[in-house]
Amino acid sequence: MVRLPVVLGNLGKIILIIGIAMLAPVVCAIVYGESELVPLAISAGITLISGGLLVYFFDTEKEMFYREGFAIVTLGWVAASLVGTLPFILTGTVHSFADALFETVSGFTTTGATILSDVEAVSYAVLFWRSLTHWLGGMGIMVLFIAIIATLGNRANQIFRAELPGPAKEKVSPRVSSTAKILWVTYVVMSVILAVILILQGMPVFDSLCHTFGTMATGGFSTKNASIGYYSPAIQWTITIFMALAGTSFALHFLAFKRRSLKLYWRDSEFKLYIGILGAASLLIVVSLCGAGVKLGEETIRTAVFQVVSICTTTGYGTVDFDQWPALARQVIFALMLVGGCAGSTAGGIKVGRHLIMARQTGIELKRMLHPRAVLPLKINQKVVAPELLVNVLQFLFLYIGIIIIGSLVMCAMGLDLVSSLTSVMTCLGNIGPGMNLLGPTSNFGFLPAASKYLLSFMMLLGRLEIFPVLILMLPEFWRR
Amino acid sequence: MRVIIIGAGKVGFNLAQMLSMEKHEVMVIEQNEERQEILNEQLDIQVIGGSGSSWEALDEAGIKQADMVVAVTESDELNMVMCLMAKQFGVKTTVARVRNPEYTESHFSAPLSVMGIDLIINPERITALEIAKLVEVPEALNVDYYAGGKLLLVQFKMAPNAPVIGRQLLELKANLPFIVVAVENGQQMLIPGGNYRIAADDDLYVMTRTEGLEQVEKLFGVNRPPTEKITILGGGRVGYYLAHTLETKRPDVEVKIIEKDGRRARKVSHNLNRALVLHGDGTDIDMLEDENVGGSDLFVAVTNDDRLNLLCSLIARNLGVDRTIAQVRRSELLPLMEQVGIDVVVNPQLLTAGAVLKFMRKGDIISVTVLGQNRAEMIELVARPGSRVINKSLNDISFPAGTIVGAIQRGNEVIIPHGGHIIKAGDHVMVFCLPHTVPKIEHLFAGGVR
Repeated sequence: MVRLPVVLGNLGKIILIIGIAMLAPVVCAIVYGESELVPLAISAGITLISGGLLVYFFDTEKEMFYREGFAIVTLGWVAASLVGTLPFILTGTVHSFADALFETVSGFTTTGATILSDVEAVSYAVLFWRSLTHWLGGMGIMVLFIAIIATLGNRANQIFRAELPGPAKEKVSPRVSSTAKILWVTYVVMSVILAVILILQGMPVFDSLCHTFGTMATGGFSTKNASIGYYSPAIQWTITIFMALAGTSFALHFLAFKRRSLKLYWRDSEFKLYIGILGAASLLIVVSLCGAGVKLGEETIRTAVFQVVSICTTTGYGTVDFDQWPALARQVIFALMLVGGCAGSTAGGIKVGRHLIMARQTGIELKRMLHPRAVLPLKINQKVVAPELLVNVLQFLFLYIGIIIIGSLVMCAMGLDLVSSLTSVMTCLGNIGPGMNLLGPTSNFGFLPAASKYLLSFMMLLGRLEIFPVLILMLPEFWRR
Repeated sequence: MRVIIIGAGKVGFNLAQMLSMEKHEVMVIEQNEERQEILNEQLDIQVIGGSGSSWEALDEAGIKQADMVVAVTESDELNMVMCLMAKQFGVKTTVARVRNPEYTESHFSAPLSVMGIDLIINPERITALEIAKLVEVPEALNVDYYAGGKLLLVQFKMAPNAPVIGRQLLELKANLPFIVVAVENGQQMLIPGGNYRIAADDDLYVMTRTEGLEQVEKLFGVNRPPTEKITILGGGRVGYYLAHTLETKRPDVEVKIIEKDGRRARKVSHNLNRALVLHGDGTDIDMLEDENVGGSDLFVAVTNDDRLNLLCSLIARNLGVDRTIAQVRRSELLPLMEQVGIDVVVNPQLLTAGAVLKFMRKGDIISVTVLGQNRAEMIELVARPGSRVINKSLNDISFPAGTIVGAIQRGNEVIIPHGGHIIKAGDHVMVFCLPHTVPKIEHLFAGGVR
């Protein structure tokens, strides 16, 4: 049974958090003396008032039921995306609701796909809000919700698990709420470090903040039309490293810091595979580019590594148009879209952890054919993976592929070519950003019909919440008494 | 010495028997009345009925006057608590049998000393380590290391076609020194002179420096079969410890474990990283053939069932395994096993008893190894300043018959001595002693300043 008052009351709290965050672009408008101050203040006001009304009228003190937990996660994201469109619409930056929704969902889910053709023409305050949605959605609205609201009780664990990406979720502290706090603090500290480094490397303060949000959340919104390609090689390297860090488990960062030991990273098989994939993909691209006549040098290596890290961590920043690359290099980028970052990171996609589990299981199945009587447990980091988790991972992969197929069918039906429709669905489901062909790194999603924007927004949400929490709401049984 | 043994299972019984033969005062606390009767009938000891954790039983056993308490009941926890209590009563030395690896193998094993346990014995672990040593030197029937691994004593069996058969010991020369400290043939064990002629089927006990092992093997025509594949039957504690030890010590070896119980097989597979765990019956020849057990270099049977170990070792041998090691708990069966073709037999009780003995003999004697069915001993003694042996050459010291000096360790240097070598103060002297000569050797080295 789902009790609507309980759900609505909690949604109110989530909306309140978003409303408070909306005060940041208001401050930004004041600082830059922009005319968007009034509409931004109005949108913050509407959001805060609607959230406040929900909290006021509905009961939030009641213990949540299991089903309500899922409803709050998914509907919370929907609600945040809906009120998040206000700054875009009221300032007149975006003219249609479909565009505004696409842009907001793309922000919160850290996809980074945009409908704006010229971001440099947009005001500072709106750009700041756009990037801030990345940062809020990166570590997770729900994780923030759990960290701030202490009265969630036992359901907090379920909400936490539903939002945090990856197959196996480690808690760094016995209590979920303190785990959530630790993760957010780790996230904030790393963001501050990145922002300071960027400022020291000569990036303007505003750009530094926006790109910090985009990098740490593995989002991809930039404040420049040329994305990171606008900045110096040193800044590009910094962003590369921090994208790679943001694609790694934040629990691992925290533990490594707490124990003051870098060995912890190397003991983690998922991290090792992740680094291996990044290295191999970069090498392949360098080889491919050199084969096409590009001179081997720092620039080639930097571009290759940057694009590989950007796509694999599902960030989606660009320094060059990889769509112009030779076939092999493009194919590597295409394959990386199906990899994703590590579990427990801010990255989207299938996740390296799931690939690791599936690869190990493949090895085990082959070995079982050789030794029919052998007892072969599936182990990751010397720990046994429960059979239920394995089934969950396989099921996830099935759904993931299925959604890509169905989604691209629909996109094709709307008139897109094969590569564009396939990569548009992959890039949205994986929360990456750029696709290929018509939707390559230099183009945008603005020209698409409104229906396809709603579809892609839905894909982004599916990808961010890792399918199951969204799908369960589609089950009629879920809503039945 | 007054020793209280709590729990008279197989290990407790063996210990009680050994200690009472060595003229110690032994009290055994045992709950089971049948066991009490058996003890009373067979051993010259005092049996006290009751639980080891009862104050009355402990008081009756005279715990306040006891020098040593050995807790070997079935329960690890009880054994540990007993040692803690014994320490409270002022018992100097406590020994507990703890089998659960969770208590002994964690990184936090410091609490055991807090609990007042001086020695932890784990029969399964000792057995597994013993087998692991045999894997390291696969051609030997027995291996023991001394002087921090610099010296070793190996037991070889002379094949009928070995090149040294029929030759005298003094004819054999190698670049590195070695000493044949004993020869065992059948039930007979003797210390050979230079004119001893090696016969087929002799078991030679050779003491040499570790780096000289290969040369000694060459000289005696012992070939070293490579051990690359090992099949272990039984995923119990011994099997698990063995596989675990091999994983760290010999990562190049391919290990298969066959375990009958599905649950146990899963548990073992969870705790091991490389070994292949097979769920099946060791007597299922089809499975053994499918898994190519015959291609193993070594087959180790360590289930809890002596008969199964024997049977499966024979099956494995029949399938073509080069070497078989079987665990046999009933010591009266030991001589039989080698006759039917098991290469090495390990007996956990004997090994455990040896470990306790080693611990009890602490003092002038540093280390003891019990060798062979005759229970000869290799002991390591310290030559104290002022004792009778100091500054004399080996020829001038009147060593009792049935003993021989195998090696001397002086600081970091190890010497394989000849008659002219002189013992200096502070030397560690490894002496091989036939049974019953130990007290004489102790007497010889006695005296001097500590």
